[in-house]
Amino acid sequence: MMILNLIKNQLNILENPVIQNFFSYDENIQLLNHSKKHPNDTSSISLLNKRFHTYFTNVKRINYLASLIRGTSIDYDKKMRNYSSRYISTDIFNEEECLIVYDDSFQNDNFDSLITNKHLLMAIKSLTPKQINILEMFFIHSKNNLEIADYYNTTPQNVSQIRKKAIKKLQNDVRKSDNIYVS
Amino acid sequence: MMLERVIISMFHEIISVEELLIHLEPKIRRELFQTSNQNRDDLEQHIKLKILEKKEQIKSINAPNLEEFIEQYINQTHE
Repeated sequence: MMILNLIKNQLNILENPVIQNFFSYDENIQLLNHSKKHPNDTSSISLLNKRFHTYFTNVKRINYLASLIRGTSIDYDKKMRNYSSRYISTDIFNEEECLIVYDDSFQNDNFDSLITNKHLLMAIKSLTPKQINILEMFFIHSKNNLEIADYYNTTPQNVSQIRKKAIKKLQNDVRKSDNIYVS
Repeated sequence: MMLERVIISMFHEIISVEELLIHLEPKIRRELFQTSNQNRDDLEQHIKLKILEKKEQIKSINAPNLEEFIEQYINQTHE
């Protein structure tokens, strides 16, 4: 009752995003309609109150967490940048060690050992061997399209297309599994 | 969509910080791109630790109910 009068007097509250979102769900609208029809029945109003309270609390917490996550990662990156600009790795000046880094022993690297996100790893496993190989050559061994094309005896355009297709598939798979994860 | 179910559960119960952490996993993973490749694992740990540190603060976040919210809104616009 009270709520309805308040809302009627203050129509611009309906533009408030929280209110809009809250009443975009049928159950809440139904509760509001119910209280309109039965002004003496306070149960639907108190239920509405409770539901709004829980909903808004969750929203506020998620909001806080989202900005915390974002702020933390920005701060962290700034800190790491500062750190690496102040303390430059001395390995770079040692040519011998520098050579070791690009040694052939690292050619054995593959996605299994480098990727920690299990959804992504599963998605990669579902690709064809050729796609996996091309992605490995491109991203891990930083070969360009031409070199990969030479290896497969095909054109660079084809390689580029296979790579793009593979990445598209990975994106879709990971997005899908993210949604399952959320549930 | 699966996300819909989470939103509907938001009307029924206040979700615990641990559960929120699970739901926000994709968000965390997106933000990892903020930093360079070799620091990402570190950052993930860092973020999760930070959230657990702030657990009490997050728990203390409370919202008004519908009537209170509308009253607050009216008071604000009248000022």
